[in-house]
Amino acid sequence: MEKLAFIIRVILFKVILSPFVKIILGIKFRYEEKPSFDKPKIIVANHSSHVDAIAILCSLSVRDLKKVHPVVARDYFYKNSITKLFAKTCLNSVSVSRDRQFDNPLHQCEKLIERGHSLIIFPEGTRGNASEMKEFKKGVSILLKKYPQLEFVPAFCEGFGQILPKGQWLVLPSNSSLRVGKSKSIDRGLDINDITNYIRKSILELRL
Amino acid sequence: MIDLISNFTGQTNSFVEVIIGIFSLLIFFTLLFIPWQKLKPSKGMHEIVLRVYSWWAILCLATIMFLLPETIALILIILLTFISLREFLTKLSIEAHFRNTLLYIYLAIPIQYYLAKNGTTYSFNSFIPVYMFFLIPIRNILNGAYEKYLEFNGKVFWAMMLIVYGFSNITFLRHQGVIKGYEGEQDLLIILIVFLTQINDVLQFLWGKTIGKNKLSPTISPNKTIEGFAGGAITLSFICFLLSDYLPFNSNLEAAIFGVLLSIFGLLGDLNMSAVKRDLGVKDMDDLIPGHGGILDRLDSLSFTLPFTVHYLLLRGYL
Repeated sequence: MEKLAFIIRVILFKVILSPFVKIILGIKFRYEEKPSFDKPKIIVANHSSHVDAIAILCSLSVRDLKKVHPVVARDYFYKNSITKLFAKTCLNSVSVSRDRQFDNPLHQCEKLIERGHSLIIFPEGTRGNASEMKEFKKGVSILLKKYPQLEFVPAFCEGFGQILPKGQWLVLPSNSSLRVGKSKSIDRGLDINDITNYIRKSILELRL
Repeated sequence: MIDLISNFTGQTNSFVEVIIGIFSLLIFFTLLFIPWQKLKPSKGMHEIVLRVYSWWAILCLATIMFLLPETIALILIILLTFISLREFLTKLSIEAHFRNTLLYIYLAIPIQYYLAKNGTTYSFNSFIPVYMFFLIPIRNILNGAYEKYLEFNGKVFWAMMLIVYGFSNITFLRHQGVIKGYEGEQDLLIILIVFLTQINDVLQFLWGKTIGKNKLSPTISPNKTIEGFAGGAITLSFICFLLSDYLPFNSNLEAAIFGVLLSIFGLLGDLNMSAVKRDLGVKDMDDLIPGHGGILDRLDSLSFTLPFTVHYLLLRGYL
Protein backbone atom coordinates (compact mmCIF):
# COMPACT_ATOMS: atom_id res chain seq x y z
CA MET A 1 0.00 0.00 0.00
CA GLU A 2 2.84 2.36 0.89
CA LYS A 3 4.59 1.43 -2.36
CA LEU A 4 1.46 1.99 -4.43
CA ALA A 5 0.91 5.42 -2.90
CA PHE A 6 4.51 6.30 -3.67
CA ILE A 7 4.12 5.23 -7.31
CA ILE A 8 0.93 7.30 -7.57
CA ARG A 9 2.78 10.30 -6.19
CA VAL A 10 5.70 9.92 -8.58
CA ILE A 11 3.35 9.68 -11.57
CA LEU A 12 1.23 12.55 -10.33
CA PHE A 13 3.98 14.99 -9.49
CA LYS A 14 6.80 14.06 -11.81
CA VAL A 15 4.92 12.97 -14.92
CA ILE A 16 1.70 14.99 -14.88
CA LEU A 17 1.92 18.01 -12.63
CA SER A 18 5.55 18.99 -13.06
CA PRO A 19 5.31 19.62 -16.84
CA PHE A 20 1.90 21.22 -16.35
CA VAL A 21 3.18 23.59 -13.70
CA LYS A 22 6.31 24.49 -15.64
CA ILE A 23 5.03 24.69 -19.22
CA ILE A 24 1.38 25.64 -18.92
CA LEU A 25 1.35 27.69 -15.74
CA GLY A 26 4.86 28.96 -16.35
CA ILE A 27 5.98 28.82 -12.72
CA LYS A 28 9.71 29.41 -12.49
CA PHE A 29 11.74 27.41 -10.00
CA ARG A 30 14.74 29.26 -8.64
CA TYR A 31 17.04 27.64 -6.10
CA GLU A 32 19.71 29.33 -4.04
CA GLU A 33 20.67 25.82 -3.11
CA LYS A 34 18.92 22.58 -3.91
CA PRO A 35 17.93 21.18 -0.50
CA SER A 36 18.85 17.60 0.30
CA PHE A 37 16.61 15.66 2.64
CA ASP A 38 19.12 13.18 4.04
CA LYS A 39 18.63 14.84 7.38
CA PRO A 40 15.14 15.94 8.47
CA LYS A 41 14.24 19.45 7.38
CA ILE A 42 11.20 21.66 7.43
CA ILE A 43 10.32 23.60 4.28
CA VAL A 44 8.67 26.78 5.44
CA ALA A 45 6.76 28.84 2.90
CA ASN A 46 4.11 31.47 2.60
CA HIS A 47 0.71 30.19 1.57
CA SER A 48 -1.46 31.92 -0.99
CA SER A 49 -3.13 29.08 -2.88
CA HIS A 50 -3.26 25.30 -3.16
CA VAL A 51 -0.72 25.55 -5.96
CA ASP A 52 2.00 26.39 -3.38
CA ALA A 53 2.08 22.88 -1.96
CA ILE A 54 1.88 21.30 -5.42
CA ALA A 55 4.75 23.44 -6.72
CA ILE A 56 6.93 22.61 -3.73
CA LEU A 57 6.21 18.91 -4.14
CA CYS A 58 7.00 19.19 -7.87
CA SER A 59 10.35 20.73 -7.03
CA LEU A 60 11.41 17.65 -5.06
CA SER A 61 13.30 14.74 -6.54
CA VAL A 62 11.67 11.31 -6.84
CA ARG A 63 13.61 10.04 -3.84
CA ASP A 64 12.46 12.93 -1.70
CA LEU A 65 8.80 12.35 -2.48
CA LYS A 66 9.07 9.38 -0.14
CA LYS A 67 10.34 11.39 2.78
CA VAL A 68 8.68 14.79 2.57
CA HIS A 69 5.25 15.36 4.02
CA PRO A 70 3.16 18.51 3.69
CA VAL A 71 1.32 19.40 6.86
CA VAL A 72 -2.36 19.99 6.17
CA ALA A 73 -5.23 21.24 8.26
CA ARG A 74 -7.32 18.44 9.70
CA ASP A 75 -10.59 20.35 9.50
CA TYR A 76 -10.12 21.20 5.80
CA PHE A 77 -8.62 18.09 4.22
CA TYR A 78 -9.88 15.36 6.52
CA LYS A 79 -13.49 16.50 6.53
CA ASN A 80 -14.62 13.68 4.23
CA SER A 81 -13.10 10.39 3.18
CA ILE A 82 -12.35 11.38 -0.43
CA THR A 83 -10.26 14.42 0.43
CA LYS A 84 -8.71 12.45 3.26
CA LEU A 85 -7.67 9.65 0.91
CA PHE A 86 -6.34 12.23 -1.56
CA ALA A 87 -4.36 14.03 1.11
CA LYS A 88 -2.91 10.82 2.48
CA THR A 89 -1.95 9.00 -0.73
CA CYS A 90 -1.35 11.79 -3.24
CA LEU A 91 0.08 14.45 -0.97
CA ASN A 92 1.64 12.09 1.57
CA SER A 93 0.41 14.52 4.17
CA VAL A 94 0.21 14.63 7.92
CA SER A 95 -2.51 16.59 9.56
CA VAL A 96 -2.59 19.06 12.37
CA SER A 97 -5.70 20.13 14.11
CA ARG A 98 -6.37 23.84 14.02
CA ASP A 99 -8.91 23.76 16.82
CA ARG A 100 -6.80 22.17 19.58
CA GLN A 101 -8.82 18.98 19.95
CA PHE A 102 -5.68 17.06 21.00
CA ASP A 103 -3.18 17.71 23.77
CA ASN A 104 -0.24 17.92 21.38
CA PRO A 105 -1.31 18.82 17.86
CA LEU A 106 2.25 18.29 16.63
CA HIS A 107 2.42 14.68 17.81
CA GLN A 108 2.33 13.17 14.30
CA CYS A 109 4.89 15.66 12.98
CA GLU A 110 7.25 14.82 15.83
CA LYS A 111 6.98 11.10 15.13
CA LEU A 112 7.93 11.69 11.48
CA ILE A 113 10.89 13.88 12.34
CA GLU A 114 12.13 11.24 14.76
CA ARG A 115 12.00 8.78 11.85
CA GLY A 116 14.18 11.15 9.79
CA HIS A 117 11.42 12.46 7.54
CA SER A 118 10.90 16.06 6.45
CA LEU A 119 7.89 18.35 6.52
CA ILE A 120 6.40 21.17 4.49
CA ILE A 121 4.73 23.70 6.75
CA PHE A 122 2.85 26.86 5.87
CA PRO A 123 3.08 28.71 9.17
CA GLU A 124 0.44 31.24 8.17
CA GLY A 125 -2.01 28.43 8.91
CA THR A 126 -4.32 29.32 6.03
CA ARG A 127 -4.19 30.73 2.54
CA GLY A 128 -3.37 34.40 2.67
CA ASN A 129 -1.95 37.18 0.61
CA ALA A 130 1.63 37.03 -0.66
CA SER A 131 2.09 40.80 -0.44
CA GLU A 132 1.22 40.89 3.26
CA MET A 133 1.88 37.66 5.08
CA LYS A 134 -0.28 36.81 8.04
CA GLU A 135 1.02 36.34 11.56
CA PHE A 136 2.98 33.06 11.77
CA LYS A 137 1.82 30.20 13.96
CA LYS A 138 4.41 28.88 16.36
CA GLY A 139 4.45 25.17 15.42
CA VAL A 140 7.60 25.36 13.28
CA SER A 141 9.51 27.19 15.97
CA ILE A 142 8.48 24.65 18.59
CA LEU A 143 9.70 21.78 16.41
CA LEU A 144 12.95 23.56 15.56
CA LYS A 145 13.65 24.25 19.23
CA LYS A 146 12.85 20.71 20.27
CA TYR A 147 15.02 18.89 17.71
CA PRO A 148 18.62 20.13 17.52
CA GLN A 149 19.47 18.39 14.23
CA LEU A 150 16.45 19.89 12.46
CA GLU A 151 17.04 22.62 9.87
CA PHE A 152 14.56 24.74 7.99
CA VAL A 153 14.43 25.67 4.30
CA PRO A 154 12.73 29.00 3.59
CA ALA A 155 10.71 29.18 0.35
CA PHE A 156 8.82 32.06 -1.13
CA CYS A 157 5.87 31.56 -3.47
CA GLU A 158 5.28 34.64 -5.55
CA GLY A 159 2.17 35.29 -7.61
CA PHE A 160 0.52 31.98 -6.80
CA GLY A 161 -2.53 33.76 -5.48
CA GLN A 162 -3.42 34.78 -9.03
CA ILE A 163 -3.17 31.24 -10.38
CA LEU A 164 -5.93 29.94 -8.18
CA PRO A 165 -7.44 32.61 -5.92
CA LYS A 166 -9.15 31.47 -2.77
CA GLY A 167 -12.76 30.52 -3.49
CA GLN A 168 -12.33 30.13 -7.26
CA TRP A 169 -11.94 27.06 -9.43
CA LEU A 170 -10.39 28.41 -12.61
CA VAL A 171 -6.65 27.78 -12.81
CA LEU A 172 -4.89 30.35 -15.01
CA PRO A 173 -1.23 31.14 -15.62
CA SER A 174 0.27 34.07 -13.80
CA ASN A 175 3.64 35.67 -13.41
CA SER A 176 4.81 33.43 -10.61
CA SER A 177 7.92 31.86 -9.21
CA LEU A 178 8.95 29.57 -6.40
CA ARG A 179 12.19 30.62 -4.78
CA VAL A 180 13.89 28.16 -2.47
CA GLY A 181 16.55 29.48 -0.14
CA LYS A 182 19.53 27.89 1.60
CA SER A 183 18.71 25.63 4.50
CA LYS A 184 19.33 27.30 7.83
CA SER A 185 19.61 26.16 11.40
CA ILE A 186 18.54 28.26 14.34
CA ASP A 187 20.27 29.41 17.47
CA ARG A 188 18.49 27.34 20.08
CA GLY A 189 19.06 29.86 22.80
CA LEU A 190 16.40 32.09 21.27
CA ASP A 191 12.86 31.99 22.53
CA ILE A 192 9.93 30.88 20.40
CA ASN A 193 8.89 34.37 19.25
CA ASP A 194 12.38 35.27 18.12
CA ILE A 195 12.67 32.03 16.15
CA THR A 196 9.33 32.77 14.49
CA ASN A 197 10.54 36.23 13.55
CA TYR A 198 13.79 34.82 12.21
CA ILE A 199 11.88 32.36 9.99
CA ARG A 200 9.65 35.13 8.78
CA LYS A 201 12.64 37.28 7.95
CA SER A 202 14.31 34.43 6.04
CA ILE A 203 11.23 34.00 3.87
CA LEU A 204 10.92 37.72 3.23
CA GLU A 205 14.57 37.90 2.17
CA LEU A 206 13.70 35.67 -0.78
CA ARG A 207 11.20 38.23 -2.02
CA LEU A 208 12.81 40.37 -4.68
CA MET B 1 24.20 14.83 -51.90
CA ILE B 2 21.27 17.23 -51.96
CA ASP B 3 19.13 14.63 -53.70
CA LEU B 4 20.04 12.16 -51.02
CA ILE B 5 19.04 14.48 -48.18
CA SER B 6 15.82 15.50 -49.87
CA ASN B 7 14.90 11.88 -50.48
CA PHE B 8 15.68 11.04 -46.90
CA THR B 9 13.74 13.93 -45.35
CA GLY B 10 10.94 14.13 -47.90
CA GLN B 11 11.64 17.81 -48.54
CA THR B 12 12.15 19.42 -51.92
CA ASN B 13 15.62 20.02 -53.38
CA SER B 14 15.40 23.80 -53.17
CA PHE B 15 14.43 23.56 -49.48
CA VAL B 16 17.52 21.48 -48.74
CA GLU B 17 19.73 23.89 -50.71
CA VAL B 18 18.39 26.88 -48.81
CA ILE B 19 18.75 25.14 -45.42
CA ILE B 20 22.37 24.27 -46.16
CA GLY B 21 23.01 27.84 -47.32
CA ILE B 22 21.42 29.33 -44.20
CA PHE B 23 23.33 27.13 -41.82
CA SER B 24 26.66 27.89 -43.53
CA LEU B 25 25.91 31.59 -43.22
CA LEU B 26 24.94 31.09 -39.59
CA ILE B 27 28.21 29.36 -38.83
CA PHE B 28 30.04 32.21 -40.56
CA PHE B 29 28.24 34.86 -38.47
CA THR B 30 28.82 32.91 -35.27
CA LEU B 31 32.53 32.67 -36.00
CA LEU B 32 32.58 36.38 -36.83
CA PHE B 33 30.62 37.80 -33.89
CA ILE B 34 31.64 35.69 -30.94
CA PRO B 35 35.39 36.50 -31.19
CA TRP B 36 34.39 40.14 -31.90
CA GLN B 37 32.38 40.21 -28.67
CA LYS B 38 35.35 38.68 -26.80
CA LEU B 39 37.83 41.24 -28.20
CA LYS B 40 35.71 44.39 -28.08
CA PRO B 41 32.76 43.91 -25.73
CA SER B 42 30.03 46.54 -26.06
CA LYS B 43 26.34 46.71 -25.30
CA GLY B 44 25.27 46.64 -28.94
CA MET B 45 27.58 43.76 -29.60
CA HIS B 46 26.13 41.84 -26.67
CA GLU B 47 22.70 42.41 -28.18
CA ILE B 48 23.78 41.05 -31.55
CA VAL B 49 25.44 37.99 -30.03
CA LEU B 50 22.13 37.31 -28.30
CA ARG B 51 20.47 37.67 -31.69
CA VAL B 52 22.90 35.17 -33.21
CA TYR B 53 22.14 32.69 -30.44
CA SER B 54 18.42 33.15 -30.88
CA TRP B 55 18.96 32.82 -34.61
CA TRP B 56 20.44 29.41 -33.99
CA ALA B 57 17.60 28.49 -31.70
CA ILE B 58 14.87 29.70 -34.05
CA LEU B 59 16.36 28.15 -37.19
CA CYS B 60 17.12 24.83 -35.50
CA LEU B 61 13.59 24.81 -34.11
CA ALA B 62 12.12 25.68 -37.52
CA THR B 63 14.20 23.00 -39.25
CA ILE B 64 13.21 20.38 -36.71
CA MET B 65 9.56 21.42 -37.08
CA PHE B 66 9.69 20.84 -40.80
CA LEU B 67 11.12 17.38 -40.31
CA LEU B 68 8.56 16.35 -37.71
CA PRO B 69 5.14 14.98 -38.61
CA GLU B 70 2.67 17.78 -39.33
CA THR B 71 0.50 17.18 -36.26
CA ILE B 72 3.41 17.28 -33.82
CA ALA B 73 4.77 20.41 -35.48
CA LEU B 74 1.34 22.00 -35.14
CA ILE B 75 1.11 21.10 -31.45
CA LEU B 76 4.57 22.55 -30.86
CA ILE B 77 3.72 25.82 -32.51
CA ILE B 78 0.45 26.04 -30.58
CA LEU B 79 2.46 25.57 -27.39
CA LEU B 80 4.91 28.26 -28.48
CA THR B 81 2.05 30.66 -29.16
CA PHE B 82 0.51 29.83 -25.81
CA ILE B 83 3.77 30.55 -23.99
CA SER B 84 4.19 33.85 -25.85
CA LEU B 85 0.64 34.91 -25.08
CA ARG B 86 1.13 33.94 -21.44
CA GLU B 87 4.31 36.00 -21.29
CA PHE B 88 2.33 38.97 -22.50
CA LEU B 89 -0.86 38.54 -20.49
CA THR B 90 0.90 37.87 -17.19
CA LYS B 91 2.71 41.19 -17.55
CA LEU B 92 -0.59 43.07 -17.60
CA SER B 93 -2.31 43.94 -14.38
CA ILE B 94 -5.71 42.40 -14.77
CA GLU B 95 -8.69 43.19 -12.56
CA ALA B 96 -10.00 40.22 -10.61
CA HIS B 97 -13.47 40.55 -12.12
CA PHE B 98 -12.15 40.07 -15.68
CA ARG B 99 -10.08 37.03 -14.78
CA ASN B 100 -12.57 34.53 -16.20
CA THR B 101 -12.39 36.09 -19.64
CA LEU B 102 -8.75 35.06 -19.94
CA LEU B 103 -9.84 31.43 -20.27
CA TYR B 104 -11.59 32.31 -23.54
CA ILE B 105 -8.51 34.15 -24.75
CA TYR B 106 -6.37 31.05 -24.21
CA LEU B 107 -9.02 28.80 -25.76
CA ALA B 108 -8.97 30.91 -28.90
CA ILE B 109 -5.45 29.66 -29.70
CA PRO B 110 -6.38 26.10 -30.75
CA ILE B 111 -9.42 27.40 -32.63
CA GLN B 112 -7.36 29.90 -34.57
CA TYR B 113 -4.82 27.21 -35.45
CA TYR B 114 -7.58 24.86 -36.51
CA LEU B 115 -8.88 27.55 -38.84
CA ALA B 116 -5.39 28.30 -40.09
CA LYS B 117 -4.99 24.65 -41.02
CA ASN B 118 -8.46 23.67 -42.22
CA GLY B 119 -10.60 26.80 -42.44
CA THR B 120 -11.14 29.12 -45.35
CA THR B 121 -8.99 32.20 -45.84
CA TYR B 122 -11.96 34.26 -44.73
CA SER B 123 -12.50 32.38 -41.46
CA PHE B 124 -8.80 32.42 -40.68
CA ASN B 125 -8.60 36.15 -41.28
CA SER B 126 -11.77 37.04 -39.41
CA PHE B 127 -11.96 34.78 -36.35
CA ILE B 128 -9.82 36.97 -34.10
CA PRO B 129 -10.28 40.40 -35.74
CA VAL B 130 -14.08 40.09 -35.86
CA TYR B 131 -15.43 37.24 -33.77
CA MET B 132 -13.08 37.51 -30.81
CA PHE B 133 -13.38 41.28 -31.00
CA PHE B 134 -17.05 40.93 -30.09
CA LEU B 135 -16.72 37.86 -27.89
CA ILE B 136 -14.33 39.41 -25.37
CA PRO B 137 -16.61 42.35 -24.47
CA ILE B 138 -19.66 40.06 -24.43
CA ARG B 139 -18.02 37.85 -21.81
CA ASN B 140 -17.04 40.94 -19.85
CA ILE B 141 -20.56 42.37 -19.97
CA LEU B 142 -21.80 39.12 -18.43
CA ASN B 143 -19.37 39.70 -15.58
CA GLY B 144 -21.25 42.85 -14.76
CA ALA B 145 -18.26 44.97 -13.87
CA TYR B 146 -17.08 48.03 -15.73
CA GLU B 147 -13.93 49.20 -13.94
CA LYS B 148 -11.04 49.18 -16.42
CA TYR B 149 -13.42 47.64 -18.99
CA LEU B 150 -12.04 49.55 -21.95
CA GLU B 151 -8.45 49.04 -20.89
CA PHE B 152 -8.86 45.30 -20.48
CA ASN B 153 -10.68 44.82 -23.79
CA GLY B 154 -8.14 46.86 -25.67
CA LYS B 155 -5.03 45.30 -24.21
CA VAL B 156 -6.22 41.73 -24.42
CA PHE B 157 -7.54 42.07 -27.96
CA TRP B 158 -4.33 43.72 -29.05
CA ALA B 159 -2.25 40.92 -27.52
CA MET B 160 -4.35 38.33 -29.33
CA MET B 161 -3.94 40.05 -32.67
CA LEU B 162 -0.21 40.45 -32.26
CA ILE B 163 0.55 36.99 -30.95
CA VAL B 164 -2.21 34.51 -31.80
CA TYR B 165 -3.22 35.94 -35.15
CA GLY B 166 0.34 36.92 -36.03
CA PHE B 167 1.97 33.57 -35.36
CA SER B 168 -0.87 31.50 -36.80
CA ASN B 169 0.15 32.91 -40.19
CA ILE B 170 2.94 30.31 -40.20
CA THR B 171 0.41 27.50 -40.07
CA PHE B 172 -1.78 29.20 -42.65
CA LEU B 173 1.16 29.57 -45.00
CA ARG B 174 2.25 26.00 -44.44
CA HIS B 175 -1.08 24.30 -44.96
CA GLN B 176 -2.94 26.66 -47.26
CA GLY B 177 -0.24 28.76 -48.89
CA VAL B 178 -0.38 26.99 -52.26
CA ILE B 179 0.93 29.44 -54.82
CA LYS B 180 0.68 28.77 -58.55
CA GLY B 181 4.05 27.74 -59.94
CA TYR B 182 5.37 27.30 -56.39
CA GLU B 183 3.41 24.25 -55.30
CA GLY B 184 4.78 22.17 -52.47
CA GLU B 185 7.33 24.80 -51.47
CA GLN B 186 5.49 26.36 -48.53
CA ASP B 187 8.12 25.18 -46.07
CA LEU B 188 10.76 26.87 -48.18
CA LEU B 189 8.83 30.14 -48.12
CA ILE B 190 8.45 29.99 -44.31
CA ILE B 191 12.09 29.25 -43.68
CA LEU B 192 13.06 32.07 -46.05
CA ILE B 193 10.80 34.55 -44.28
CA VAL B 194 12.25 33.54 -40.92
CA PHE B 195 15.77 33.74 -42.32
CA LEU B 196 15.27 37.09 -44.08
CA THR B 197 13.70 38.61 -40.97
CA GLN B 198 16.54 37.46 -38.77
CA ILE B 199 19.28 38.52 -41.17
CA ASN B 200 17.56 41.89 -41.54
CA ASP B 201 18.12 42.53 -37.82
CA VAL B 202 21.79 41.63 -38.14
CA LEU B 203 22.26 43.72 -41.30
CA GLN B 204 20.61 46.77 -39.79
CA PHE B 205 22.86 46.44 -36.78
CA LEU B 206 26.01 46.05 -38.90
CA TRP B 207 25.19 49.02 -41.12
CA GLY B 208 24.28 51.08 -38.09
CA LYS B 209 27.59 50.19 -36.44
CA THR B 210 29.66 51.16 -39.48
CA ILE B 211 27.96 54.27 -40.93
CA GLY B 212 25.11 55.02 -38.49
CA LYS B 213 24.84 58.64 -37.31
CA ASN B 214 21.23 59.80 -37.12
CA LYS B 215 19.03 58.09 -34.59
CA LEU B 216 15.88 56.63 -36.04
CA SER B 217 13.82 56.54 -32.87
CA PRO B 218 15.76 57.97 -29.93
CA THR B 219 12.92 57.42 -27.47
CA ILE B 220 11.90 53.84 -28.25
CA SER B 221 15.11 52.19 -29.35
CA PRO B 222 18.17 54.45 -29.13
CA ASN B 223 20.59 52.19 -30.98
CA LYS B 224 18.62 52.10 -34.24
CA THR B 225 19.90 54.50 -36.90
CA ILE B 226 18.47 55.74 -40.20
CA GLU B 227 21.64 54.73 -42.03
CA GLY B 228 21.50 51.27 -40.49
CA PHE B 229 17.92 50.84 -41.58
CA ALA B 230 18.59 52.12 -45.12
CA GLY B 231 21.67 49.95 -45.52
CA GLY B 232 19.80 46.94 -44.15
CA ALA B 233 16.85 47.51 -46.47
CA ILE B 234 19.06 47.86 -49.56
CA THR B 235 21.11 44.78 -48.66
CA LEU B 236 18.01 42.72 -47.89
CA SER B 237 16.46 43.82 -51.16
CA PHE B 238 19.62 42.68 -52.91
CA ILE B 239 19.53 39.33 -51.10
CA CYS B 240 15.89 38.87 -52.12
CA PHE B 241 16.86 39.76 -55.68
CA LEU B 242 19.50 37.04 -55.63
CA LEU B 243 17.13 34.55 -53.99
CA SER B 244 14.24 35.35 -56.32
CA ASP B 245 14.41 31.86 -57.83
CA TYR B 246 13.47 30.51 -54.42
CA LEU B 247 10.75 33.10 -53.75
CA PRO B 248 7.26 32.83 -55.23
CA PHE B 249 7.23 36.19 -57.00
CA ASN B 250 6.77 36.75 -60.71
CA SER B 251 9.82 38.91 -61.31
CA ASN B 252 13.21 39.68 -59.79
CA LEU B 253 12.13 43.27 -59.35
CA GLU B 254 9.14 42.30 -57.24
CA ALA B 255 11.38 40.16 -55.04
CA ALA B 256 13.62 43.17 -54.50
CA ILE B 257 10.67 45.40 -53.59
CA PHE B 258 9.42 42.68 -51.25
CA GLY B 259 12.86 42.74 -49.59
CA VAL B 260 12.56 46.47 -48.87
CA LEU B 261 9.06 46.06 -47.46
CA LEU B 262 10.12 43.09 -45.33
CA SER B 263 12.98 45.14 -43.95
CA ILE B 264 10.59 47.98 -43.03
CA PHE B 265 8.17 45.63 -41.30
CA GLY B 266 10.97 43.81 -39.51
CA LEU B 267 12.17 47.11 -38.10
CA LEU B 268 8.64 48.12 -37.13
CA GLY B 269 8.07 44.80 -35.37
CA ASP B 270 11.26 45.28 -33.42
CA LEU B 271 10.34 48.84 -32.44
CA ASN B 272 6.82 47.72 -31.59
CA MET B 273 8.02 45.16 -29.06
CA SER B 274 10.51 47.67 -27.62
CA ALA B 275 7.70 50.18 -27.16
CA VAL B 276 5.54 47.55 -25.47
CA LYS B 277 8.34 46.65 -23.08
CA ARG B 278 9.04 50.28 -22.30
CA ASP B 279 5.37 50.90 -21.62
CA LEU B 280 5.11 47.87 -19.35
CA GLY B 281 8.34 48.90 -17.64
CA VAL B 282 10.10 45.58 -18.14
CA LYS B 283 13.47 44.85 -19.68
CA ASP B 284 12.53 41.45 -21.05
CA MET B 285 9.14 39.83 -21.47
CA ASP B 286 10.25 36.76 -19.57
CA ASP B 287 13.37 35.02 -18.38
CA LEU B 288 12.86 31.60 -19.88
CA ILE B 289 16.59 31.19 -20.38
CA PRO B 290 18.23 33.68 -18.00
CA GLY B 291 19.90 36.50 -19.98
CA HIS B 292 18.08 35.70 -23.19
CA GLY B 293 14.60 36.94 -22.39
CA GLY B 294 11.42 35.20 -23.35
CA ILE B 295 10.01 33.99 -26.64
CA LEU B 296 8.48 37.33 -27.51
CA ASP B 297 11.82 39.09 -27.09
CA ARG B 298 13.23 36.84 -29.78
CA LEU B 299 10.28 36.83 -32.16
CA ASP B 300 9.66 40.58 -32.14
CA SER B 301 10.39 41.24 -35.83
CA LEU B 302 8.65 38.06 -36.93
CA SER B 303 5.42 39.17 -35.25
CA PHE B 304 5.16 41.82 -37.98
CA THR B 305 6.82 40.19 -40.96
CA LEU B 306 4.71 37.02 -40.91
CA PRO B 307 1.30 38.70 -41.21
CA PHE B 308 2.84 41.15 -43.64
CA THR B 309 4.02 38.32 -45.93
CA VAL B 310 0.67 36.57 -45.91
CA HIS B 311 -1.20 39.78 -46.61
CA TYR B 312 1.23 40.79 -49.31
CA LEU B 313 0.63 37.45 -51.02
CA LEU B 314 -3.12 37.82 -50.58
CA LEU B 315 -3.24 41.38 -51.85
CA ARG B 316 -1.09 40.63 -54.85
CA GLY B 317 -3.33 37.70 -55.70
CA TYR B 318 -0.78 34.93 -55.18
CA LEU B 319 -2.90 33.12 -52.62
